[in-house]
Amino acid sequence: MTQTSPPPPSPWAALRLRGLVSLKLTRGRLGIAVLCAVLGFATVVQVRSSDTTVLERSRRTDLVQILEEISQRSTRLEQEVSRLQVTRDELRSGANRAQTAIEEAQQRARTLAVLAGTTPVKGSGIVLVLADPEGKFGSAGMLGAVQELRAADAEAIEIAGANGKKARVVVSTGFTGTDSGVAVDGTELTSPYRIIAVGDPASLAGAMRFPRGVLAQIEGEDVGGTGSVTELESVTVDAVAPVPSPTYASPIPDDG
Amino acid sequence: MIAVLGLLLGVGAGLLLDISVPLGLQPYLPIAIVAALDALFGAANAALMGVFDDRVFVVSFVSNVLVAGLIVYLGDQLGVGSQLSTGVVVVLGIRIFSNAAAIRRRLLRA
Repeated sequence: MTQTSPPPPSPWAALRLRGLVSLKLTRGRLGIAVLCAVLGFATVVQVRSSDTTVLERSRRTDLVQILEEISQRSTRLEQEVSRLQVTRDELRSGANRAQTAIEEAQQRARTLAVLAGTTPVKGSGIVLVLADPEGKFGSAGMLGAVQELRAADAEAIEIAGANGKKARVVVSTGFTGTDSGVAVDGTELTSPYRIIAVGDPASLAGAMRFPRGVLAQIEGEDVGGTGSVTELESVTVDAVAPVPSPTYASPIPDDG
Repeated sequence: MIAVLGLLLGVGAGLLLDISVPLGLQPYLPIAIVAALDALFGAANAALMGVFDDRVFVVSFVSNVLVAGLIVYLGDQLGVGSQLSTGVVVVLGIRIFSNAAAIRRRLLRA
């Protein structure tokens, strides 16, 4: 290629000398033209096919390697998918547990509200009217009546006086005798008393009527009052007990 | 001049005819093109030196392409096709560079 023959005066002159610049068609020149045409054609075709996907031009070994890489990657991705699915299921069941816990807590709160007398309730029950004109029934008799009602599974009890005041009977309710009648948790009530109890009407009424029971006592000679029991499909206890806020005690939180 | 015309004709045909490379030729065509380019540069150099010959060009062109294809084919059979074609491209590239350098020296005297 790099011969050191003495160069002609001008390279262009050499070309012209050999007639390479002319367009005269000879057999040799035809061959050159054909080969150059083939070269240009092949180059263009190859450039174009290089634009298409890499995979088409790859060798078998390369393809195998690419396939291996892809399958490894897909394995990794599948592992990640299953890992994420496990996480998702855990989160979902955790949310379900939390939801269940909330519902249980709400149910318990409703039950406790009924028991603590902080919410008005209604349901089947009885209305017990006790007239004690001479005030001899008193707080002791009232406590006895409430105990009998509790023993007959009364779920909510309210005592209303003739003076329009009423009181909810809860666990801590106390009865005090006053000049005009009975004070229930400090609320003074006057005779006749109207006691509303929610529970099974038959058993509640039975608890009032049995011999030497509440009705027998109030109608007895010692007291000289009157009493009546009405069983009802629906009674409403709308007096609520005040909610005491604990000053000294605080609940121990669950560890769960 | 006729070479440039032929080249333009081929490029035009390649652009007009939408032909994709046959599957069997795919590993060989790039190498063949590089080999042909090597022959082309050698011919250009020879023409500038005043020793260009039609017959030599045609024979060197065809044999270059055939030998390059043969080497790649052999490499594929031996399982080292990609390495061998890289080697062929490197060798032909070096030749193209040295021819181009010779042409440059002759044309620009630098």
